[in-house]
Amino acid sequence: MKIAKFYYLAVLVFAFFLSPAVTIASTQEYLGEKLKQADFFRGGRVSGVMWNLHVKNIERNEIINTIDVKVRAENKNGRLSALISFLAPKKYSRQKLLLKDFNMWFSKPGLRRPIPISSRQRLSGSASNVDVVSANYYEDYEFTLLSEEPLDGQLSYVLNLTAKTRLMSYYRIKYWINAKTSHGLRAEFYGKSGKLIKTANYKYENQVSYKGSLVDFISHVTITDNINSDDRTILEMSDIEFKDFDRSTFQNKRMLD
Amino acid sequence: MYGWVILLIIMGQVGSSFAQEIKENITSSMDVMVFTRTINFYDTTGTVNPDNRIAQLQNDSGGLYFRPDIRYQSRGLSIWFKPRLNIDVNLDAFSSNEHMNNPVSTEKYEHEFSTQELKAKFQLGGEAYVLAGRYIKELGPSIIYNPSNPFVIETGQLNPKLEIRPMDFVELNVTINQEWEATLIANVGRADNAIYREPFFKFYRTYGFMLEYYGVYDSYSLLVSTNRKQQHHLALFGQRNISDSFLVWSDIVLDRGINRYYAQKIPGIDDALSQYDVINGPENYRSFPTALVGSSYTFEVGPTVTLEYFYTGRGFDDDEAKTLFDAIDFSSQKNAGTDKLLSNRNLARAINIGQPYLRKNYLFTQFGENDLYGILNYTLRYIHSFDDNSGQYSGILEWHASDSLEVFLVGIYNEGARRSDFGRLIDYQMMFGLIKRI
Repeated sequence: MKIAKFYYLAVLVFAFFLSPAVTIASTQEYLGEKLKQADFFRGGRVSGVMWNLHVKNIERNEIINTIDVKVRAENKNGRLSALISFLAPKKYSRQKLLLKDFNMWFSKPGLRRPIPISSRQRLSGSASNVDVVSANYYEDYEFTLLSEEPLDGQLSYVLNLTAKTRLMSYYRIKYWINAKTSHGLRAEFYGKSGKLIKTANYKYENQVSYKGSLVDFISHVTITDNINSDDRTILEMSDIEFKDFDRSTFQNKRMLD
Repeated sequence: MYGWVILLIIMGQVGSSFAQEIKENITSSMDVMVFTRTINFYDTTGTVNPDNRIAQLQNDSGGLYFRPDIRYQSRGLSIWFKPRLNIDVNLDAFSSNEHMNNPVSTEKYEHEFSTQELKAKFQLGGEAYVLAGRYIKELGPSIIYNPSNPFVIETGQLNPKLEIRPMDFVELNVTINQEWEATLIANVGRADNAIYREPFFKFYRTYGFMLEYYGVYDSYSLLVSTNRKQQHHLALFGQRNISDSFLVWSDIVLDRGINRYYAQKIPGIDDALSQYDVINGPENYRSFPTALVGSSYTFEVGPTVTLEYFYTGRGFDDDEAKTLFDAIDFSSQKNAGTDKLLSNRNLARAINIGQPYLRKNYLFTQFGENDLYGILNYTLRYIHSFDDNSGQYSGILEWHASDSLEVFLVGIYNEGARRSDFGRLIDYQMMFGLIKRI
């Protein structure tokens, strides 16, 4: 009898301590799935995808320049590869940026071989802002739930993403995910000092067929500079195509081809 | 009769659809570069280029270079064709300035057609391809010096506006998985490389195997190569991202048997009659280690600073350098009779010794930024030879005056004694030009 009492007591005590852990674990799992889906809608977690990206840089409500790039990306066995080829204007044409996980190379006419670069170097110049399209948050960031709040009239999970390594361009991201559709709606990008660097708002108006069903895929990203709030960059994605690439597509030795 | 007509119609349609497909898969562009260049060089007796009779440089020159880039890509086949038409203008020939350094040519214009690239890639499924043709094979992570490359001697980036000569290659590349790639490389022809013509090196086909590893934060490559002249080459190079702004790389090489000209004294009846010979001889059949380490850091405000140090066993020590410069002194004074041919050959080889740098220990620094204000690229460089305390400053400025027009300025200034790596031939050079992208 004493043994039975002890047994029930132990179960109660164990359950008391375990139940929040189970809840936390399942919440983390649930949010992880949401984050994975949000990554997918922005081009991550697919074996191969290609799109055209039209970038508009706006200062004081005037378009100061536009850039066209073609993005090819794949995520296989947890390894990310992306090739960004600059198409226009002519001064950037034939420039390429290759990412293989955290390895990066840059090439342009006149260079005799692609040069290895760091992610901060990638952020300067013509490739600036392209990084917010990066869609591997589930792999690259630890996440916790900050709150649940409405955004644009719909319930959203607000996640706090913290970089897993020092190699990430942004140390912390505050990320709003639509609770119903799993689309990432807004992201605030913070530096190591905790300073807000830029804010991105995402739209999903591209309807793309994926594995037999139509999905609402990323179409617009509006990036606002925190220092000059009048300065914006608008990224427009079009001609989205899911495809498998030859392995040579993501070879640094083929960048000058 | 009708049969022939139908056959002709079918052939016409097939031909037309074939032509249509070709047309749809061809893209082309062209850069037109016009430039003027000023070089101040040393040409007195005792230098490597006495009376400018060896390098035959021009003080002032210009050029109009047409650089088309045509590519065809369809299914598993890609073809690249980059013909070149270079029209060079010898501005010295227009001038009667007596202060010009010994103009050697009175030809005002020269032109050259060449093929900078003609190659085809055949995709063998998604994981492998064969690449063959004439092109530049580049390897290694360094900006300034790539000792790991056994195929191309001139790999420096001194003046990116001037193209280096391609060679003929065949490659088979296989991607084993997400992390590993293997490549068989055969350098089968010298193409138009002057360094493999008389009085320089004899060309031997070189065969290599390269294994590459791509990690999450780093990448490494191992390359082995050999040729019929028993020149063996082992290279290991790689790079690693330390943080979002800090990158390191290294390039470590062991050569057994190299192409390099060094000087030796041919004993005469007495010392005054001794002659020098600059040869690619038995001294080159031993082991030569080379090690390069480099790093770059990108500041938050934009510029990137790069630092590289390299030691090359192929470089000359003090005694070898002294013998070479004694040979230059001696040969520069022999410009007549039977000595002239040997002297000229020695001096030509002393200019093109078969490696980009003469001595053993070098430090390279670079400071630069791309796309400043959306219109400006600038690069400032300095390389220093610790062995003879000579150095070279260089700068490249590129201004995008419009979307399709680039204005550039390249400047190089050498400092050092006449018997030093950077002080032996050129004092300074400036190149100013425009590139119109069509």
